[in-house]
Amino acid sequence: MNRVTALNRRYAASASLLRTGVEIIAIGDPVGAQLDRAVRRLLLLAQRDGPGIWDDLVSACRLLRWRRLTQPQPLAFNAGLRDASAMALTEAARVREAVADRALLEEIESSANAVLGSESPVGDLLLRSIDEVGAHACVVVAMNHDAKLGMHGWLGARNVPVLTSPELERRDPSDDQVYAVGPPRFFASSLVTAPVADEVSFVIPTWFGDRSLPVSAISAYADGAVRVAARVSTEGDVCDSPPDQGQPATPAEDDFLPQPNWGPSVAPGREPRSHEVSARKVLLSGGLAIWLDDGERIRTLNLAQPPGERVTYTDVELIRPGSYLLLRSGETERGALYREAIRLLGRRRAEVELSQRDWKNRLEERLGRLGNSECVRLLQGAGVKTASRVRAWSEPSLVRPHSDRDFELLLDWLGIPRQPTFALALQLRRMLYQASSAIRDELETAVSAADLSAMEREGHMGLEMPAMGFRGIVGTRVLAVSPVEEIIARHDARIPFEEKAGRWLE
Amino acid sequence: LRTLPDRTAYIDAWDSMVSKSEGENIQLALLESGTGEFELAPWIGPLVALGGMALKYASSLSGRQLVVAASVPSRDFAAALVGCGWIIASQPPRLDPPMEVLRTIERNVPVRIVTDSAVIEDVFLAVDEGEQPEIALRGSRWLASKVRAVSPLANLDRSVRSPRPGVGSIARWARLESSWDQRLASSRQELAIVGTRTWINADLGAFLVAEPDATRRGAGTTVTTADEIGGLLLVSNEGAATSFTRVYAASRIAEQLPLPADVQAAVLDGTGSIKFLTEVEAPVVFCIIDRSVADQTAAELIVQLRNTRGEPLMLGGDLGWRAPPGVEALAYTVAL
Repeated sequence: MNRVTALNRRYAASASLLRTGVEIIAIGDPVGAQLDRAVRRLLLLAQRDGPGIWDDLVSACRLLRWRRLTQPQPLAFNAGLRDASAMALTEAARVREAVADRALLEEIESSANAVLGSESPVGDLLLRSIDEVGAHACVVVAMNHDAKLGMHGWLGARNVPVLTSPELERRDPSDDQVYAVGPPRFFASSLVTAPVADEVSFVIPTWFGDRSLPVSAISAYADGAVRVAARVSTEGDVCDSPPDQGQPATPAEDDFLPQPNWGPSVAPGREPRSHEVSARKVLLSGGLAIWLDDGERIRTLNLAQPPGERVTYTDVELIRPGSYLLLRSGETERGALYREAIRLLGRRRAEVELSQRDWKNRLEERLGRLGNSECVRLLQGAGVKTASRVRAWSEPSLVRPHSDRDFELLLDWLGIPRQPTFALALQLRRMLYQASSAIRDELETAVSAADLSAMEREGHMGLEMPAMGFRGIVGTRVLAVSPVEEIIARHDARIPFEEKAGRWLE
Repeated sequence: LRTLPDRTAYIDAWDSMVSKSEGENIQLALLESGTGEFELAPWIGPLVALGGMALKYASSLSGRQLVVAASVPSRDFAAALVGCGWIIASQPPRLDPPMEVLRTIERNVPVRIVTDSAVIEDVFLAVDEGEQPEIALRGSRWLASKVRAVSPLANLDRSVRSPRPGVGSIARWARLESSWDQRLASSRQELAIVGTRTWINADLGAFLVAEPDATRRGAGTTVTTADEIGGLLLVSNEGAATSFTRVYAASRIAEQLPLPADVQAAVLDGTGSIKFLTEVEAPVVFCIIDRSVADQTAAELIVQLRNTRGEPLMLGGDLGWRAPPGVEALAYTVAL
């Protein structure tokens, strides 16, 4: 389809969905509802007792409930549900001797067995809906790649395409009816805010109470806000209506998402010392993790971009689940870059290094004496816009604040004459950019030669870069970012290590 | 439209026209390749108008930056169309007549000269006065009577000679003809488009015309390069001796900031470039949010800046712009 025609249809579909809204069909699922009640009780108990004994059981039960919600295909096609049920039973058996609430464990075991004894009514609903419209005029959208594979085995024989939401995005707009399997709020907002079809329906079990639709992030403040409405219809055995009424207050609906065990983590309650940084743990595909500090931007990969424009930098605070990071084992890229930039300086090297060390030492001294928050406050008072990053500026490999103005004000505040420090830092930054640009070109070449569809499927991939003599570059998808900052040794930041906590994620 | 005296009035008129019912809108049409049929669409005109209206509003900014974010179902063409609105509404450069300029320029200064048929960037040597005065450049000589506009350049890597870009449908419709020579000659880079370069270049190669032209040409007609969006935007690239717009790859922008001080407006097309929003210091910044992309961090960043440092504006009340179906937008100013 010609790009202008396709685009016209997209604008029209978006406007049409704004007028007509999307449909949510909820069907009673007593067995799923029983499981949901058991999991909610478990979550309350685990919340009361704090991290520890319940963690693995909680994760396994969450995963089981999530798969009941998002993979309604018959058991014969549902290895994911069978695995999750087995894991929940294993974890329940493991804690049996250690806990007092046997009744809850029995409820969990009985629910985990029950989902293996009864097909999800959502699957039946989906089949009937497809038959009504005709298989040739439907597209089924799965919550994620795992769910897609499961449903594909089942619906493939009927020639109904099963896609993930990014795969749907790549199709030309059409008149097809889209059936999305699972609660709207867990899908990318594009499914309703940038639809490729005029008709979108979601199928869910009634026990999932939250029927809100995803919105675009600016809609709350926007003129012409794209806020799509939902028409909800309910059918089947609905005595399992949403459990919110009469039940103890439950945690947020986000508890439905499979979650990693972050382990016992407490906010440090002190500021990092000079050889330390605060960092969040980031779980990565391929059984890896890194400690990500709030320092220099990190190298990322965007698979949706055309060749030559895939490798880029991203601010640390913008790293989210789904981002791809490019990491090297054993050493951070910024360390290597900094060394190369210093080398490129040639005979100006000593002067630049001395000047950088001078202002960074003085900053370090202020941070040590006044503390991070007081320094931030004082710098804000002096007009420094990005004052909250003051800790990062003391790092040796971070050349200077991005903004010229902020750097000048920082030097003033430190009592250091702007020149020649400013000019020398600028020279170093130029060299750094030069080195960075050369590495980016190499990375682009390596990425172009790689099988990116495999990377999208698997979530991670090693990259070959013989020309630069780099070993062990890995591209890997972010699975989860820890909500808690911890203090770690500076030299541990951004170095990938093996980590099992991601095993409860899909 | 034909009776309108100048561009500002034209933008004013358009302003009121786009806020009327859809049927009365002036429609613009796009065509992706050189042959085929133009497609009229109700969203094209408003995106162009957004660029123009933001420029008009920007004249009232004092020391503040205007941020306009538009979220569209898919990013295609949006950045280029907003850019078209900007150039349409922009003041033409004020250049003195060619001979006056040349008489003040010293030998060996690089210049750009616009003739009846070409735009040339070369080193100026001398004006040979005589019955038919001639302008001597390092690589060529030109009859002064054929030279329509001249401006000195700050620097020149190598001399360039390109065919003179024609006045296309939109430029005619927006009455840019009378200042076209000055616009070609001016070395100011006013507009930066930052995003996925491959995609933006494809957008710039598409043809944009006003409704009467689209209808008249019908199916199967060929179009001229003058109607290319890139031609209207006077994009600077290899082999083109124009400067108004420059395209930057978002993947490399970290190493190219800050943008040149001349830049009056930056269009940040997609997450890859919007994440540099706080480091772009142009007086006006447009952000194009592609809703078909699952990554919504760009939109979050825009909202965060609005809520922490911004003073919100009403697109309808302050800018006089109304979002077409399928587009949502917000605007605010921040201290520079």
